[in-house]
Amino acid sequence: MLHMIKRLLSINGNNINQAKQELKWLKQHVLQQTRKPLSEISLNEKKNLNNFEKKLLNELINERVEKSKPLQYILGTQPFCDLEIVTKPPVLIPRWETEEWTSKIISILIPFLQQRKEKKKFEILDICTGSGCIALSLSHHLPTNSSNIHGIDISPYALSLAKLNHHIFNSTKQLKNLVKFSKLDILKATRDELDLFIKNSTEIGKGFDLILSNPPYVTHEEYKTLQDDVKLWEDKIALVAEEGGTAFHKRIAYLAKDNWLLYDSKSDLPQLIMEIGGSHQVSDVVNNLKNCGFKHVKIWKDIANKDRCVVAKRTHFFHPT
Amino acid sequence: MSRSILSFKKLNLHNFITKCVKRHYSSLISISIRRPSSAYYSYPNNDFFNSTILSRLQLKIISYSTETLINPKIHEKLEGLIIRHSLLSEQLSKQLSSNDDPDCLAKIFKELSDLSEITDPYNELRKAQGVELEEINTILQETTTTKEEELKVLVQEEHQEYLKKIKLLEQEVVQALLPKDLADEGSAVIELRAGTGGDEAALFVNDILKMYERYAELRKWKFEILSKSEDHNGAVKEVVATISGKGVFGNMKFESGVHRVQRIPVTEKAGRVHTSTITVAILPVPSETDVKFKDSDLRIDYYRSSGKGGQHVNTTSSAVRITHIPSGIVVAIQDERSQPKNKAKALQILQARIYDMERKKLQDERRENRRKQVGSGERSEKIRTYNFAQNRVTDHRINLTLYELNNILNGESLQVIINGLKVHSQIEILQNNDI
Repeated sequence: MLHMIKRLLSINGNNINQAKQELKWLKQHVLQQTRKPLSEISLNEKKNLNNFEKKLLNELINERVEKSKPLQYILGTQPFCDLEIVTKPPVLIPRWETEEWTSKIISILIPFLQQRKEKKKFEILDICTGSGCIALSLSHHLPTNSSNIHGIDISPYALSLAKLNHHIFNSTKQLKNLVKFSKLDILKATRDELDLFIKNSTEIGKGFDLILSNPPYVTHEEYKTLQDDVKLWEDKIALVAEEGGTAFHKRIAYLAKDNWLLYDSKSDLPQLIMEIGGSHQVSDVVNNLKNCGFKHVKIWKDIANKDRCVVAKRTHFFHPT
Repeated sequence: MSRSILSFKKLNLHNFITKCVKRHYSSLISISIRRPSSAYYSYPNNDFFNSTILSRLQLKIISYSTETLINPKIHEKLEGLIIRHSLLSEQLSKQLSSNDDPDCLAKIFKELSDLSEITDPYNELRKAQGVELEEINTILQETTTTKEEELKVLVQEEHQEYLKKIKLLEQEVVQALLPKDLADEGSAVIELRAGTGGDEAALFVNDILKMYERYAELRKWKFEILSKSEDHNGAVKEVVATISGKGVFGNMKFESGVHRVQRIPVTEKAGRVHTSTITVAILPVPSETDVKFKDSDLRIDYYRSSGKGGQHVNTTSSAVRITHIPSGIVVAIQDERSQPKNKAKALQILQARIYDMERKKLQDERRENRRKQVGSGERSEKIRTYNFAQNRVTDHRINLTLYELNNILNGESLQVIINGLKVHSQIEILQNNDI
């Protein structure tokens, strides 16, 4: 086993604990494939692998080390807000930062939706939905039938994976709210296309109450410096954006600036939440939002203390958190 | 003697009380007779009080005697606070107009708001005791001779409502004056041990245990024996139990000390009265929510948190390490592939460890407390005597004697003694503390 850990060291920043942990997960994955039922396998089990299993494990390590294949693609899933999201190349793997702010908005929405008296469902739009992780987590956690969630993406890979995930969680009855995924190029969509989309996807055809997005925000320069496990495996269109990585943010702000894409509700909730690449994008994105009529804009940091989300609202006051 | 009691004397007291008993209003009756400078309770020895109804009523009466708390000394203190309050208000308005010393202003504000917590209910109390009660009393006296029974009842009810209101206000004033102890609200551990007197003392441990068990039952508290060392004839050398519920410690804490029993033991053939003792120790139990830590006490490390994060990297290192700075306890979790999940787990474990640590500390404190409370278990430190021959129980701390031993031992009248002790302790605190 020691030589396996050694091999895994390089892709784990020479952190031996992390390499050990990865090996544990890989070994567990192999055992899940070869020995069923799952309940017989525990992480700390000192079961010796047979030759076939060893060969399989070595192949996985090869993929991980020689081909820089992300662990999440090898294991096939990534936990995200209590859901095991299926991951498939080249669709962007859900990041923990996204998971963190998604749980945060869920915890803000739950009490709001529980007290909400309107019959109209709360309409949520997830732009650049990718694997569908944000949209599906909302559906899983928000009060039953309180919301309609719509995920859009330009990539057919992303859409088919999002639909696969939707199918999986639907069949395990983990979804409590309606989720729909559709193809839409948010940068190039015409007004007519968007009109049609709003009309078809929302209950009363009047826009959304909340827009969430984890759009591409890596700049061209940054992209060159990225690690192989990202650069060689994840879709470039899910990562890179023009205008210093803020093209999507600006486009979304523009589309949401009047009462058209974003339905103007009178709650204290944020109306628009977009993930960003860090503090270097804050002023650009915030100024743009203010120009688009978002009077209240704030930044959520992630637990690594990096500027991670811009949170905007056109009028009224913010939710206290 | 308070005004309300005087007014009662003018009524046909016997009729009034009988009526109240019939109508289950006994809890509203408020009669107390105090000797100055000590909280001493006794009852006039006349036929009236010896009637069966009233021997039961006595208990209620004494249990609502908190009125006596506002004695002349406390009264003086309160009046002083009122003066201080108006003085400060004056100063405040002066400061507000000159506006040159913001620090001083803040100080005055703070003191004023602290004072208001006491003076506001006290002002209300004065109002209620003064003009308002006077009016009602006048009407009450006028109606005592009337033949209209309904009107009489109505006025009496009104009067009782007033007494109730005054009582509540008084309690509010006293509560505001008293320092607060959070442990009072929580549960308690009780420990009983046989002291001098051999088997007879051990038998008495069992009697007292039953008394507390029954008392807890009456108060709707949960009583649970943790350990009990019993010998062959049912005598209990030592017993530890928990009583859980709201306000357990606040009531039970007065039970700490040496309890003395004087009776002819069942084992005594010559018919001589023996004196034996047992010791009681009452310890507070912390509530679950006592274990909380501030975010600023925690340092949370992520093993690969350098770099830009987000879409830029595809990290598999979900390890989280949380350090609780004040205690130095470190919890590191990396089993889960989800970082938020690892964080949640680590926090949970940290909480459990800190609770464990605090409990150990608490146990040390309890040991110290017990040493202080119980002493050596000798007869000289007695707090209460149970005398079977005279059918009486005397609490020596407040000189209270009740001639109903059985009602106390079956837990029903224990509250009377406890209330007396509460009042006594409140008076002591009020008089000793320089409020």
